[in-house]
Amino acid sequence: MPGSSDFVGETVEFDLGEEAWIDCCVRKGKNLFGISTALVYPSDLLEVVLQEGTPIVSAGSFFNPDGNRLDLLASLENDEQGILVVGLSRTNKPIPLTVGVTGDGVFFSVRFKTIGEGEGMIAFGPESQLMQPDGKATRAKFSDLAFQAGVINIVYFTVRHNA
Amino acid sequence: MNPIFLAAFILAEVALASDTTRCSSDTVLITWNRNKEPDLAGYKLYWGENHWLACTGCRADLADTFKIIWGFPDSVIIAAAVTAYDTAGNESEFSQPVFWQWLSANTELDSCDVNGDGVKNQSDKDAFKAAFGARRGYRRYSERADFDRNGIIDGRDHAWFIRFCW
Repeated sequence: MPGSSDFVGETVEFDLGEEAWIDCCVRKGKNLFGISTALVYPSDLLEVVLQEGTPIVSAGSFFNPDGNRLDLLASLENDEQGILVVGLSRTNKPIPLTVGVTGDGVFFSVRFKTIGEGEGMIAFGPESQLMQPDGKATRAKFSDLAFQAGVINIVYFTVRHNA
Repeated sequence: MNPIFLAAFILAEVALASDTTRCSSDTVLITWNRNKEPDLAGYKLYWGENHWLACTGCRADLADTFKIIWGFPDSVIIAAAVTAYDTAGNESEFSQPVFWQWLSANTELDSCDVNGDGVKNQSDKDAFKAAFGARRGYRRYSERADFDRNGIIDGRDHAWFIRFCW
């Protein structure tokens, strides 16, 4: 899958065995301080790539417009593929922060690899939430990502009106 | 009804820089400014976890204080807001809500001392990181790192740890 794009509401295609970065992005973010989420994916089709047993996850630039430190933790739930638990937050170091970040951008990126052919979803876990500087959760809509891995024969219908 | 103004006085409170007050008492005294309308019939106090406001047996009549005694789990943030109602049954908008968070004595140190060695330091962060992503019953799970007691060390615990301990 060369290049990158916005796949909200669409299906992204991967070749079997391909590795790709999946970016977790925000649009119209308002005064955000952190995100708590879990990415749920079919472990027979996808796996998070590990490096020395640790998921390859990198923080994006959204939470760090001012140079303050971020804190990112990412771990497979119970060390098994299928659910990636992520916590990402701005911190009060080196200077205390009382404001969050507003705008669009990338929260974090995850390195995935396709290991099986089929269709599936990378979904946000039901307890996913965005946090404001005071620690309270703020309302958010989480959009899952539909994907297709490998070659799939697609059988479908069409409709001919008044033919 | 006109909007009313609300102030919460929390017994044994510890002030924070944010607008969420943390306290070690299990008693919260909510007070507000009296309305002046002649048809004022009373007030209702709504409270609940996080932003959820529910009015369950919370009619306060004409008193302008209300005492909540509630054994909520540590670290849960409670919100409260008040409405006024008149003799015709009309109810005002919510007041500005107040927030507080119960912590038992020494909870902060205890909570931040994730590895249980009696001191709060970098090794607690390492211990938290080691437990991250584990569900209760799994070998990496740590009850001390599960601040919201939901059975998994996840991003919400991470946010709590970053905010209060690190």
